[in-house]
Amino acid sequence: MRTPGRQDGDEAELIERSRKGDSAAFGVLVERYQRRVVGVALAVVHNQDDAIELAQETFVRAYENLSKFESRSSFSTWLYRIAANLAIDFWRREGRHVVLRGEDAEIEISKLPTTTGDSFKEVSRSELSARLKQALEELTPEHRAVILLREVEGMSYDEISDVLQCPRGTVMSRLHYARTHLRTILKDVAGS
Amino acid sequence: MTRRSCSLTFLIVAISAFGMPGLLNAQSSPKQVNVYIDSVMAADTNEGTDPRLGPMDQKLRGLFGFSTYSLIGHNEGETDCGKMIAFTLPGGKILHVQPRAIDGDMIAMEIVLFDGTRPMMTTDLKLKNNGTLIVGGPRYEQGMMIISIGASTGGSPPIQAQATPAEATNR
Amino acid sequence: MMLGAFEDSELEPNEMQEVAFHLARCESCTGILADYSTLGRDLRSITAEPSLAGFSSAVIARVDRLPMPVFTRIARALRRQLDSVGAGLAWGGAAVAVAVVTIILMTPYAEHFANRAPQSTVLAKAEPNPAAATNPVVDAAANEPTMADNDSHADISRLESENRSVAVWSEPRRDTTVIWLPDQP
Repeated sequence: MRTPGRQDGDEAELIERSRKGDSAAFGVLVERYQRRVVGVALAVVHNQDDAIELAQETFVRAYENLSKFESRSSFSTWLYRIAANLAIDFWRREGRHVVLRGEDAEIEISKLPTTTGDSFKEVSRSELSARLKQALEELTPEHRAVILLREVEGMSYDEISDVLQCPRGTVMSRLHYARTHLRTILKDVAGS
Repeated sequence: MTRRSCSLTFLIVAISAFGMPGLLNAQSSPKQVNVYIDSVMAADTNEGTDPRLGPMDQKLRGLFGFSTYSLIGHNEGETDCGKMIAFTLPGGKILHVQPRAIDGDMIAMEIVLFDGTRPMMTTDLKLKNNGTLIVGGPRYEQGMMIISIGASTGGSPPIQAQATPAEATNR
Repeated sequence: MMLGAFEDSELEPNEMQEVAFHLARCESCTGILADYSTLGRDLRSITAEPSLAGFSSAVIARVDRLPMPVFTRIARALRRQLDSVGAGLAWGGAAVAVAVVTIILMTPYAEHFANRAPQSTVLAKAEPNPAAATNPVVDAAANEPTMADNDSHADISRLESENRSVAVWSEPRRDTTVIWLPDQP
């Protein structure tokens, strides 16, 4: 990922042309960032159709607000922030309630026996996938976003902190909680 | 000189005259933050005062009701806004401090305290320049641990222990 | 939490060393690290990449249907006006308008107005008396004068902790705020 603040000469030109109403120039920017923007939305809402719709809305919002984009920051990070905010707002309006709260998770973790990663291999892949998807649904959108942005999109903690506009320490603690929660669920599946 | 160029010149002069104070103010804003950490063990063992604490001893006696205060660690470091600085403290504690912005006389920062790998506390706060945040309560040996966190943007530091240079642990 | 950050190579070099040293002696933590690695692999395998065929053309179609912003309409109207009325008058008027806006935005008055506006929601403003305490803390605050509302030197906007009883109080005369996290029984 590019260092924030630096833009290629052609990207700056594309943004300037887009500001003046050149939708073809904007189309090039869409092609360049569509996969990642969809990935960010998917990390929050975890539904492909919703993620694609939100990603389209992200680009439309970005186009409408190009005049507010300051070229000293990264265009991609600005886009991902819009995507993350839209997705989190969407989830809060449409999504399910969180099943597991922080305190309950801590109590469950303390009861875990110590086992190695080998126990995962004993569980059928389809059962594991289904349970993992359900476990992801049980996380808050913020916790789901950090774990998927890290594990699937490969973003660094600083990039996640930029996109979700929360401090790096919060990224670390949310990742810790999400990993611990998912690991707990998968241990239960392996145990049963 | 044409009428258009006269107007343009007036425009440029007006922006320069009124924009300069703001620009200078932005350029002179400090971005570096000095962080001072003192780790103290507080106990009811009537062992008297640790001379290394200096003026901090009086502050602690005014805040808490313990009979013994001992300096068990001293760390200091400097970092820029937006960058995290980590300190390893006694008792397996780790402290992460990340100043985020300097807002007048207040320093906005995030502080995370770990007990080994477990986060004990995460806080977002604005601390006055040269002010002190004390985080305490965890057990340490026969007493309790008190962590004094001070921050300043330069000049004289907040009240801290008078640890010797050999005892200061830089990051 | 350090194990995850170690796995992600996001720790400081000295912290990476410490965790690595710990892992060499701790089977339990090594197992947890292996689980994290497996979890990451499983998450990537269940997260299918959606098909993006037609995505960019759908976005451009929506963008082309957007109504022209009012500002753009005004700018175009101004341009027509400039041609007819005279360039000098228009520039002069614009210069005066920009100068006035610059005065408001860039001088100390702006700082004054900005400081008066609340910049963050203060969720926990440290008060002299502890909210809950089960520790031998002298109630020195009871003998202190009442803290003035605008005399707080620490604004805590967020505090997260596993502890069920956390006390927060302030001693403004000592320029100190205290967060007390007693060990849980």
